[in-house]
Amino acid sequence: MNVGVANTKESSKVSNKPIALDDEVKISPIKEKMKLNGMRLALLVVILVVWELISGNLVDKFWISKPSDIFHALYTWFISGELLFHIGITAQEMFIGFFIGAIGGALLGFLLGRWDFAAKLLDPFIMALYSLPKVALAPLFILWFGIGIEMKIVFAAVIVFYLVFFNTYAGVKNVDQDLLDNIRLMGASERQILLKVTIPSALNWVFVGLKMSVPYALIGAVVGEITASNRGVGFLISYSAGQFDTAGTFAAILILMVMAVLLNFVLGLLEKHFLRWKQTNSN
Amino acid sequence: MIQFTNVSKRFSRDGQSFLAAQNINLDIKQGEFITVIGPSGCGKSTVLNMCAGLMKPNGGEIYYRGKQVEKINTQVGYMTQKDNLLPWRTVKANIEIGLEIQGKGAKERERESSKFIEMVGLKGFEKHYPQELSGGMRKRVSLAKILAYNPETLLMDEPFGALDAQLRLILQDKLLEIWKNTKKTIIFVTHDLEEAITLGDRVAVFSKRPGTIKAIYDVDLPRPRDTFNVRYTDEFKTIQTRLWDALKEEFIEEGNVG
Repeated sequence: MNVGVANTKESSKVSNKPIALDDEVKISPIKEKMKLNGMRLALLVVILVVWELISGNLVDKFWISKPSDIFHALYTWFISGELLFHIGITAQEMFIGFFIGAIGGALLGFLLGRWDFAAKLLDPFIMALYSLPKVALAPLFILWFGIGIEMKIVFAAVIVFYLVFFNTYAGVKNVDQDLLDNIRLMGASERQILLKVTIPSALNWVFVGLKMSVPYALIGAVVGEITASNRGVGFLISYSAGQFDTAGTFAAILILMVMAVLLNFVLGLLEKHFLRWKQTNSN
Repeated sequence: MIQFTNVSKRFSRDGQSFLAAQNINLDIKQGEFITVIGPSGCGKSTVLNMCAGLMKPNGGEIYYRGKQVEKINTQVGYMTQKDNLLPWRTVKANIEIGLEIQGKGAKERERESSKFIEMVGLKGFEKHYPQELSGGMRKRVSLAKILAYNPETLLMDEPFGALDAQLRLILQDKLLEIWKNTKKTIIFVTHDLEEAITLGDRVAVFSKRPGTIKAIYDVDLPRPRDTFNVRYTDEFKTIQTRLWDALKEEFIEEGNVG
């Protein structure tokens, strides 16, 4: 008896220790992260300071501008309202293009995924169009839609369309046969199979396609603007460069970079929310 | 209720064809619990697949309630070796899917699913996704799933193979209880001789490939059986010895003989 009691006491003592250890382990990653972020910030400051110092002294300002000028350009655009205007235009082209392309791609991908004959029939045509570098279509779209916002929307939509189309098609084709058999045995109708297995299973792939294509929608919009336009962030880049305004060019590129980073961040959050079931048991 | 007459199944792989099952004759009565045992790769799962209508035999016929099985047989609930859970559905939603298909209302689904979640010991895991569970837990979810929608006949392919010994005994006990209360017909494939004897009214012993039924033994142990203790009775041991004599030859590889 005594031995047993002693044992439990000891084991409770022992089990206390790992808990304390655990807490330490939990705290340290946060510290680590803060340290890392601090160092990143320091690196950024160093780069900006060095840039500022060498510009005009070691390297001609014409080539690399300088951070203070770039922020000044940004500030001027912000005050005049141009900044938000151009961002708004680009965002609009991107989102509308994205939705048109995504809906079209998902619908056709789903249709061909279910309809084998049509998929076989259209396969060479779809592949031929897919192989074509999409930038080559820009002049044609200008011819058709002019240099306004429509041309960029169509351009972004075409790029997004292919990515979403291929992923949706693959998703519908790759539904696990065992899952289908399993639900069929339960007496499911074709409609129930579609709603409860095929579509949710394909959605996973569609999400991947959507996620991949959002940055491409931005690329599509900006490439369209650089090709021919009078507004948008792409226009800001090409216009500033055309005026030999290096600070403006850098400023516009910076805007684009921030837009892309924000976009990826939001996508990451959405993915975490919608695809929770995909995360493996990491506790 | 289920009849196999001279059923054979041939597969081809890499251009070579081989017989997975040969001349299977089996007559299963309604409400019977039959266990099937044999070496791995002997075509036990193939027999279940054909009974579920997922595969067509190359020879012979299978009848279910007097009707030939030619397409998917929705009278049977089939628990395969793979758990077949929908990864985007939580434990609870997976278990309720059969009831959804039957058009049952939310309240009834809730009642049934919570009953079976409790039974398989997964209380507190209702909102988890299959990906977050261990293999044994997923197995239990798929057991609850098949029981929840209450099919007339259960085909079970090594359902407790991945579970630890204690849990296996508990679930065997629950399965016998459900079987007693619902009068279901159960075909239960296992590679565990003790399990086959503990559960079954009859044990069908398969030969190695090409699998055929070598012998069928009646297990006349009284019911209800205590899954924990029945194995220590003399009657159990007698049956076990007899069955092992028949079974062990099938486990001897040709190279091991002589």
